[in-house]
Amino acid sequence: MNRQTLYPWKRSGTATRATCFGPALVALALLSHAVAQEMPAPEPTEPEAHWIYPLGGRPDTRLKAEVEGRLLQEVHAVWSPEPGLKGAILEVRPVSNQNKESEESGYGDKDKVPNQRVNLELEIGAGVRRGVHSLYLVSRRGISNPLSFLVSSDPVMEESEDSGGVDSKPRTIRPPVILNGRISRDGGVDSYALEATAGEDLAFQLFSPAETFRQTLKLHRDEGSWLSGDRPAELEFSHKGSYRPSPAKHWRHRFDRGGRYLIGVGSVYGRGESEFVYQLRIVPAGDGSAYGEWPGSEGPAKWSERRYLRELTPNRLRQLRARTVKPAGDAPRSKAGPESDKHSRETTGTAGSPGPSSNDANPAPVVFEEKEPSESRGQALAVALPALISGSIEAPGDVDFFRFQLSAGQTLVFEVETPRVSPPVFSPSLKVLDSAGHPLFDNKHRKIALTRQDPIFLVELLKLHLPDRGSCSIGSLAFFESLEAKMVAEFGVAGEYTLQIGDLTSQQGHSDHAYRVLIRPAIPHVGELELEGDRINLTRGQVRTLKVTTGLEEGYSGQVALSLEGLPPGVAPLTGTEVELPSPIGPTTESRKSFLGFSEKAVILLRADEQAPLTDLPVRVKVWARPVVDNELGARLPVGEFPLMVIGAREQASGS
Amino acid sequence: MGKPDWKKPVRGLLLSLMPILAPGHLDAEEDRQFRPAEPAASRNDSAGSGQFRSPEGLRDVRLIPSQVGLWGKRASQSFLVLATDARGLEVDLTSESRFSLSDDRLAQVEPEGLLTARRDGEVRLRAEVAGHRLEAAVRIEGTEGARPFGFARDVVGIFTRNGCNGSECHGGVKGRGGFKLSLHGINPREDYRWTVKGGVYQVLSPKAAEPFDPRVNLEEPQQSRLLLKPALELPHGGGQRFERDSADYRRLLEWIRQGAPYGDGGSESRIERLEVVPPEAIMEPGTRRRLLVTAFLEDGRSEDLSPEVLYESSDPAVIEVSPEGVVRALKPGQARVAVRAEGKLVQVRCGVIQQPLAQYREVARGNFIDDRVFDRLRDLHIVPAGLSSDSAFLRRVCLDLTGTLPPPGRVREFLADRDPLKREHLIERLLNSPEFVDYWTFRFADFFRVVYRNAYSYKSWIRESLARNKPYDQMARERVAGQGNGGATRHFIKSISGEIMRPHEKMGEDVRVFLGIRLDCAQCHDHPYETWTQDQFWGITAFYGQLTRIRALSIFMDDISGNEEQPEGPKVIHPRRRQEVAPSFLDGSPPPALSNNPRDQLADWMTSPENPYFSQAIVNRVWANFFGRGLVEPVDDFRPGNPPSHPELLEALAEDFRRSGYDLRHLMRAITRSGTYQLSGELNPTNREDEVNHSRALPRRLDAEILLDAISQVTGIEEAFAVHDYVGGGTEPKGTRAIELVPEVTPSQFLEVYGRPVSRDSMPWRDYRSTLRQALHLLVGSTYTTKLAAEGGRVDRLLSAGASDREIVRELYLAALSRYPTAEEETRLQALIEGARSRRRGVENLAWGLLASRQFTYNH
Repeated sequence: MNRQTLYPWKRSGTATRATCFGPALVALALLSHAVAQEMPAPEPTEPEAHWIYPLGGRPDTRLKAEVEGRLLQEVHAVWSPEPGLKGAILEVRPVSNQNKESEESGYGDKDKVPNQRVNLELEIGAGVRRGVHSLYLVSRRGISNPLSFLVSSDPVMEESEDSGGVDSKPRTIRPPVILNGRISRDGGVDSYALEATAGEDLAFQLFSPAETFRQTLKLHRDEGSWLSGDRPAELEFSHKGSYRPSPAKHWRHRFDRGGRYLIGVGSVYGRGESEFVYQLRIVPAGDGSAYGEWPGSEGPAKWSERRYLRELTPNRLRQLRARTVKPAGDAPRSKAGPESDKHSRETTGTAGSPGPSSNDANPAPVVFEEKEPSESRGQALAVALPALISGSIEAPGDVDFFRFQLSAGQTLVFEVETPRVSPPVFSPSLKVLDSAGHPLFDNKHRKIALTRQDPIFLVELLKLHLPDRGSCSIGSLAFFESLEAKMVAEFGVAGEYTLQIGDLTSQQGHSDHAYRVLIRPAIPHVGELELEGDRINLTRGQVRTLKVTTGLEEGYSGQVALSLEGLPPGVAPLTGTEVELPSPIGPTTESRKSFLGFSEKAVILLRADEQAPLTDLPVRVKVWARPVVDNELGARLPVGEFPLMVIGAREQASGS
Repeated sequence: MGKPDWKKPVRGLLLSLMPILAPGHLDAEEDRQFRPAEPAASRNDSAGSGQFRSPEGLRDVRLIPSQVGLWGKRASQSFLVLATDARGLEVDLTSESRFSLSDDRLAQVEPEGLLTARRDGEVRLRAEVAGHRLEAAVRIEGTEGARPFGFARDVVGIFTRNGCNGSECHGGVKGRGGFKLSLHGINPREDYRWTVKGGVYQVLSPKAAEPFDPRVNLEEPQQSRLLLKPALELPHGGGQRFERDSADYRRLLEWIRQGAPYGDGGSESRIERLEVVPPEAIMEPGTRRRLLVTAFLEDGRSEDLSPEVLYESSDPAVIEVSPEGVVRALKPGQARVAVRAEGKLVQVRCGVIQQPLAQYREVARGNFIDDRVFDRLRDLHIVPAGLSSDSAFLRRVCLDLTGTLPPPGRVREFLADRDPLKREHLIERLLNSPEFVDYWTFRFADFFRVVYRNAYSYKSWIRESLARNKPYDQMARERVAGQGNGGATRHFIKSISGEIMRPHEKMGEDVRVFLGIRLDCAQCHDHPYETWTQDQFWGITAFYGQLTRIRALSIFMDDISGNEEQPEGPKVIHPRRRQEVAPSFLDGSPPPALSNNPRDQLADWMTSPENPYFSQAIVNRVWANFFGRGLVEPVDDFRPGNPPSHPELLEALAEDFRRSGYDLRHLMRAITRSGTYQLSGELNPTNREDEVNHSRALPRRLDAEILLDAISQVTGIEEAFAVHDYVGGGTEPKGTRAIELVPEVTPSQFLEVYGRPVSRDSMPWRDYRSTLRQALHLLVGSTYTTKLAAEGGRVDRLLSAGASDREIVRELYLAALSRYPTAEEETRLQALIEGARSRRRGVENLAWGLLASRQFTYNH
C-alpha cells in the first residue's frame, strides 16, 4: 500500500457564483436534458450485478444466494470489505433477459450482452456487524458494482416462491422475523400468516434496493366474509403503498383482536421483476426500533450537514471545529464527552445574555429543555448562545418560543434534528422573529430547482418570468420550496430575537414529534464529502477518473487537500481538471449562503503503469480530505473508500 | 362578524307556508256591515277551480290571507278561498265565493277576490261559499301618497315579469343585442347602468366597452328603445313583450319622463323572500288553481306580488300557467311553476293525478322515510307496489351495500330463514362486511376523484375512513382543510400532470362534492342560469389562495407569509375587477377572523350543522345509490332552479344524518330498512308512469365494474387485469376485483364498453346508455365466451360434479339472479339443455342467457 497526498484543491469562484437565468435558458436546459435521456446507454464493459436474492441473513450462518447481472461469465470470487462476509461461486449460467426492466434501464442489447445468473454460497461470520454491507463479484474483467446485503440478528426466513395471492398457502411466521422475498412475476403477491394476540403492536419494515419497486403491504384478517367465505377480510389500514419508490418503509399496526392474520407483500399495480427483491422485518413495536432507520446501522455515520436525522449533541461544535483548521486561541469550552456536556441552564451560561460574536472561541452550547408553557412570545424561554434546545410538538398547532440576545452584525446557524419522526410526518418549522414579533427568517427554502422535466413545470417557470402573469390566481410557487434542516442567518441589528418552533402545518402533533435545535455562531468548515462511483477497474496503461465533491460551509474560504491511501503498486494518482459547463439554472448565492452551502468538485486521475501487477482481488482504497486555511493543514477527514482492481487490456477488450 | 345566513344562498329552495289563521265565526251585527260582490264563477269568467263543487264534504274551508296590511295609494291584495274536498284534494273556491267588505269607503273588492285600498283604516273582508262564512282583517295605511319609486322594484320587476332578464335573453352572460341585464335582476345597480348609460359588457373587465348607447331617450321618452323594442315598434329578437300603452309600457314611459332616476324607494322595500300559496298543488286534469304570491320586504312589510312576477312551467305539457298566475292542469304528471321576482325564486310543485282514488290502500311504514314518501304518494293518489320478495330484496341489498352478488349458498340460507327480522339482520351483516368497505371505497373513489397520481395514499385514506366509520363531517374536514402529507391531501393533485390544482379548481370540486353545488360557470361570469355570482365564486376560492405545496416533502399547507415573488402574501385576484378577493362564504359573509389556515374556517362553515347543503348533498348522493336517482337530480346540482323531488324527505334524511353524528352506516341502515327501499317493482295502474316518487323499485343498470365482478362471480373465473405500460406494465394480483382498480392505469375493453369513466381530472360521469358495442360484446366478447367455457369455472365444475340438469338450472339461477327458477322456467330450461348439441354447450348457453338477461344486468 502506498500513500500519496495530492495538491490542495483550489476553490473555483465561478462555480459558486449566482447564475442569472431566463426562460429561454430554462427551456434549453430542459430540452437538452430530454435529448440526453433519449440517447442509448453505453455498452457495459465491467461486470454488473443487478440483484441478489436473498437480500440478507443472520450472523454465523451459511446460505445459498443468487445474483443476476451482466458480464458475469467469468466471475471467480465474492468480495466484501467486511472481512467476516465471505462467499464462493458455485455456478454461473446464462439466463434470458426478456424482462422489460432490462430493456428500459438501458442495459443494452439483450442479444449482444445476455444476463448471467450466479449461484453463490455465502458465509456470514459470527462477528459481522449488523446492518447493510456491500457484496461484490470479482472476475478478470474487474469488480462489479456493490450489492446491498443485510445482516440482522432476527430470525431470517425465505418466502415460498411463486405465491399467487394472500389466499395461496401462506407461510406461518412468528415475529420477530425477517423475511426474504421477491416479486418476480406480474401480479405476484407473497403471503405470510401470523398469529397475533389482542393488543399486540407490531412494526413492519420493508426494504428493497430496487429503485423501481413500489412495494405494497396488505394485512388481512384470516377469516372469510358472509358473502365470500374464502376471501380474507382486508383490514382497513393495511393497504399501504407509495407512489415514489423508497428503499425502506415503515408501518405499524396494533391488533385490536387476536387471531390469525395474513400479510401480503406485492407491488403497486402488480408489477413483477426479477430484481424486485425485498426484506420484510416484523418486530414488536414500541421498543424504539420502529423509529430507527432501517435497515440498521450502515457503519460509521457519515458526516451530514443537513439530514434531519443527524445527531446534534453538545459535541457538535467540536466536531465542526475539527472540520477546519483550528485558529490560534480557539479552545473548546468543555472537554467532556457528549453526556457530560449536557449542562443545565443554571450551571452554564447566562440566560438572555448576548451571544458570542463570530470571533468568540465557540464555547460548547448550553443545553435547554423546552418547558411548558412556551406557546407565545411572552412565555418564551430565554436561552444563552450557543444553545442546544430539546422539545417536542405534542399537539397540532403547538408552537414553542425561545428568546435570545444578539449584538449587531452576528451570523447564526440554526440546525434542527428530528430524532424520532422526520419530515414529511413531522416537519419542523423554524421562524426567527424580531423584537416586535415580525418574522425575519425561516427554514423554508424557496428555490428554483429543476425537479421535474414535464411541460407543466416549464410553463409555470415561464409564467414566473413573464412580466404579466395574466389573470391566474395562483399565489405561490409551491413546487419550488423545501424545508431545510439548517439555515444561516445574518443579524444586522442588536437586540432580542425569538425563535419559534412548530410543525409546518397546524395539524401535526405527537409526543414522538421531538426536535433538537442548535443555535450557534457560524463556523466556516469543510462540509459533506462525496465520492462519485463505487469501484474502479483500472486497465494497465490507462487512466480512470475519480471525482470528489467537497462541501464548503458557512463561509469556508480555505482549500481542501485530498489524499488516497491503499493504492496498489503501479497505480499513481494525477491531478485532473474538469471543464465546467455553465449551468442555466441553479440556486442563487443568497440561497446557497442561507440554506445550501457551496461545493466544489475535484478530479483525481488514477493511472496504472503498463507493468502494474494485475490484482486477483480488489484492494480497498481510502480517500481522505484535509482542510487548508492560511497555509496550515487541518485534520484528516474521511471521504470514503472504493475497491480497485488492475486488470489486463485483453480482459477489458473482450468484454465488448 | 355575523353568523353565516343560510337562507341567502337557498334563495327560495325551501318553501314555506304562509301563516294561516282559522276563520272566526261572525255574529249577526257584524253580518249586516258587509256589502256583497257576486261570485266570479257566476259570471262565467272564472280563474278558479273550473268546476263547481257541491258543499257536501268540504272541510277546512279558509280564507287566505286572514290578516294583511296594505300600504300606499291603490295598494291591492288578492284573496284565496281554499278547502279540502271529500276526496282529500285541496280545491280553490275563490271564484265560487261571494266577497264583501265591512266598509266600502275604505276599499273595494272585485268578484275574483282582489281588494283595492281607497282610504286609510281597518276593514274586514268576508267571503261566503257553500254555507261557510270566512273573514279576514285588512289594515290600510299610506293611501295619501304613492310608494316611493325604486328602479330595483319597479323597472327590474317589469324586466323580470316580461322575461327580459332571463338567461335566454338579456340576462345571458353577455346579454343580447348589445343590451345586458343581470340574471333575473340580481344586480339592479348594474342593470340601471346598462339601461341608462349603455355600453357593452366585457367578461374580463368591469368596464363597459363602446358603444355607449342608452336604452332610454330622455329628450323624447317615447322614442326610447326600452319601449320601442318590447312593444315591437322596432325589430326585437325577443318578440313583443308588452303592448303599447299597456300598464308596463306606461310605467316605463312615466319613469323615463321623470328623468329615469334610480330612486331610493327600492332600498328599503327590496324583497327579502317570496312565498306562494299553495306551495304545492294536487290537481285533476282540466282544473285550475290561482297562485297567491306574497313578497316579504326588508322593511318588514309584505305585499301581494301576484300580478307582478314571472311564472314559468317546468313542463308545459303537464301544466300551463298564465301571466296572472293561474295554473291549469293538462294531463297526469308532475311539474313545477317557477315564480321569479327581483332575483328571488320560489317553486310550486304541481301534481296532476289521473283520478282520485275513493279508497286509498295504506301501506305499512317502517320509518320516517316511509312517512314522507308514502304521504306524498297518498297525496298524489299513487298506490305503491307491494313489498319485494325475499330473493329480490337479498339481491338488491347485497348489490347496493356491497356491490357483490350473494353466493348460492347464502341465497338458499336466506330464503329458508323464517326469522321475521332476517332482513334487518342481513342489513347489519352487510354493513359490517369487508365487501361493504370495498364497495364504498369504490363509490367514494368515484366522486372523491381518486386518480392514479394520488391513488394509493388517497384511496387508503378513503378506505380507512369508511372501515372505521369515520363521521362524514370529519372526512370532509380532513379533505377540505387537509395539511401535511396525509392521504386526504392527495386530492389536490391532478391526474395527468401530477401538479397541484389551482385554487378555483379545488374550490369548485370541494363545493360540488360536499355541497352538491356546481359553481364552475361563475368562474368567468355570473352563473348563466342561476343566481351564483362571480363574486361568490372568487370569494370562496380565496379560502384556497394560500394553499401551497412543499414539493420536496410533498407537504400541503397554507402559507400566509408570502414568498419572494409575492412578499405581501399570496392573493386571489378577481379576474374581472383585477382586485384582491378576500375570503367570503357562499352567502357573502366573511370568516370571523384571519386564520393561519383559512381552509379550517371554510371546513367549519361547510360542515356546520346549520349549513343545509352539506348534509343534504351527501344524503342525496347516498340515496341515489339505492334508488338510481337522487332526490335532487343530478346529484351534484343543488340550486333553486332544480329543487328536490321530496324536500321534506331530503331535510328529514339530512336531519337524521346530522343527529347520528354524520354516520354513513346509520344513513344506509335507515334507507335499506325503509319500506320504500324494500318495495317491489310491480306496476299498478297508479304507479305505472311514476319514476320520481318511489312508488316502486326502478331497475338500475349495474355499473361496469359491478357487472364485470358479477360475471366473474357467477362464472367462477376471476378477471386478470393488465396494467398500462406507462406505469410499468404488469398484472394486478389474482383476485383483484374491478371495483378495486384505478381506471387510468388498468385498461379494460369490457369496462370501457360499459361506461366506466376513465379521465379523472374532472368529476367522473358514468354512461349507462346501451350501445351497439355492448351488444356485440355480449355476443362474442371474451368476457362472456371465455369465462363460460373456462376450465374450473362454475359451469365446468357443475358438469364435472355430475349435477343433474335441474340442479344446474337451480344453481345458475341462484348464482346469477339470487332466486330459484319458477316451475315453468325450470321445465323449459331443462329442455333447452337436453336439446343442445352437447350437454356442455346447452349449459353454457343457459348460463350465457342468464348473464345476458336484464334481470342479471340490472339491480331491481
